[in-house]
Amino acid sequence: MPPVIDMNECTHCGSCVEDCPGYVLAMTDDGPSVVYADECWHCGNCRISCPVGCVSYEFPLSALV
Amino acid sequence: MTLEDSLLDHVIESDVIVLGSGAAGCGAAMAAKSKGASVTLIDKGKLESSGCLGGGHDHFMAILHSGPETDSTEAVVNFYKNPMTGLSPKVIEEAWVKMMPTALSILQEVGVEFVLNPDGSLMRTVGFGQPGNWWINIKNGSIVKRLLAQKVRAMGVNVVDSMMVTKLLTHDNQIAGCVGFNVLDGTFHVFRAKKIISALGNVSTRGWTNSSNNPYNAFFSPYNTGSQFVLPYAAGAKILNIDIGQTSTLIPKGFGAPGMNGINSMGAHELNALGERFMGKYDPMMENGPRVNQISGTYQELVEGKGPPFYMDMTHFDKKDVQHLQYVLMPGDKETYLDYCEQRNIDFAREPLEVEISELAFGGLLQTNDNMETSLRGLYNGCLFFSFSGSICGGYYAGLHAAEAAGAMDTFFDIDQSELMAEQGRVLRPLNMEKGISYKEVEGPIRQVMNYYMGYRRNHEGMQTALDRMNFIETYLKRIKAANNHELMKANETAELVQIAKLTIKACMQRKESGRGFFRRSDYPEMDPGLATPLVAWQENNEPKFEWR
Repeated sequence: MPPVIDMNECTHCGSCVEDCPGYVLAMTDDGPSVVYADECWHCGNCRISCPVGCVSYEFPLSALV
Repeated sequence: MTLEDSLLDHVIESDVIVLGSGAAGCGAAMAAKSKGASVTLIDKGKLESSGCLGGGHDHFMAILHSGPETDSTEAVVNFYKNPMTGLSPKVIEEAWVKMMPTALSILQEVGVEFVLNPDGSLMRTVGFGQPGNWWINIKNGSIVKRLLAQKVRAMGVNVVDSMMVTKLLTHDNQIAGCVGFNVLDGTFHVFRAKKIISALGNVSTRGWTNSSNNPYNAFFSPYNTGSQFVLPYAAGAKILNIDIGQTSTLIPKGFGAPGMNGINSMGAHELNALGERFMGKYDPMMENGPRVNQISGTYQELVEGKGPPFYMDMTHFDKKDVQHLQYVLMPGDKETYLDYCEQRNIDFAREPLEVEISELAFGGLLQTNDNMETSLRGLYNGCLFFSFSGSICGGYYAGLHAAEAAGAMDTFFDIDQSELMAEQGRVLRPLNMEKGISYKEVEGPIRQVMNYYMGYRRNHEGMQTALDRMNFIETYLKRIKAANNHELMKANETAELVQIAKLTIKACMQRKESGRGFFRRSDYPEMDPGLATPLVAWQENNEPKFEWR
């Protein structure tokens, strides 16, 4: 259940990567990237830290059934 | 430069080291620093987001002495002094209740906002089975951790993020320091301290899964894999209740989150698949009895085929209350709660919320004296109590005592250098393997065994089989290869999980009764009055020892 980052809005500031408690995100040349999607526990820290509000969450089917 | 030289060059020395930068760790670090100690605060994660508080928390337990008998120190002490908890009345009063004003003052100072009633008084609610409305509701719960982190850093605490501590160092049965590796760059580090406070929580996860089958979709932080038990146990400290400390809760179906406290206390009705409100059969307080009764009751309904599904019905709530619960309180407990609700089309006011029994979690308590010092001299436990309130208060109290004791010491203890070398080799080994298997091939089977043999119904044969299988799994640890530093962290977490799983299974085999924990034994279905006492576990000569306290 990883975060979805709107790359059109993202400023590549790295706050989401910095605050992810599980090192699920990593910074790449193209901006923040979800590297370990299955290790995300949807705590919301990346969205709390995002200064431009470009993080949302898409729950996998396993959380919806 | 030899390996040994490089290790000694990077030793960090502090009067007090705090392990774990969650609520308890923040409390401990602030208290020790306020007493003038040099403090290093270490966490595998990052201060701003670590621990269960990282994603938010919506309520704080505090006594305000507002008048009713239930709003008093005595009421809290009476509620928690049950001998099974292992907590003395004195430690409950001194280390928790008396620390509440200090903790509240810190929270207000850093900018935590509390929910108020229309008359300006604090809005307070009742928690599981408790006699009074002890829970103050937090308005800006999702950023509490960041606010605390700002203060911790501003006080001058040496914050070491991204450090997985793998071993406590001792000298003549006293704490001397610890070692660990940076999970981002794989470097090995040595820390020396006069006193260490373990503030790593009372619960660890990833041993079981809920119906989503995702071990990270847990109701407690999934990044805590048992170091709070494994490290002190290996160093010789005694641990209480590792058997019945296992815990669980009800969670929204498929969504790993706490939060039933608010839902229950505001008057929700739990329903089974037949639409029956059944909790009256299992607890005179219905849904508001002890949490263990709600889980046991729900599981019994499941066994009898009266569910799943199970629901929490809040459709009878006052419109304003249900709105407040879903849209103010619940996101404070987990920031993504409303995303889940939206994508699952959940509206508390319109129809009942489907819930499920969560995964189990490992639990237990480091045994301490009333000054929070464990049976290993110099090691303190900052996590003696329950919830955000118990964590920050207990941590604070441990910090005060550890700092005072450190102040009475002139020097640090020596560290055995050969021990450092051995630990460095052990911890970094997966990174240096030319070939091997992924940690996933080992961690998955741990859960397979725990889910299958160590669930909500158990028996001796099943537990013995679980232990045999866990011993077999342990033989695979040396085959794990890490392709990068992230996998190195996972490999070491897997090793922790095996250790805590083995100890938990062995402890559970000691308690030949049912009814005190979240699981039941089919071979001992009744409660044994003679076992109304905590089980103590410790290690001697590499063998586990157990004793009824």
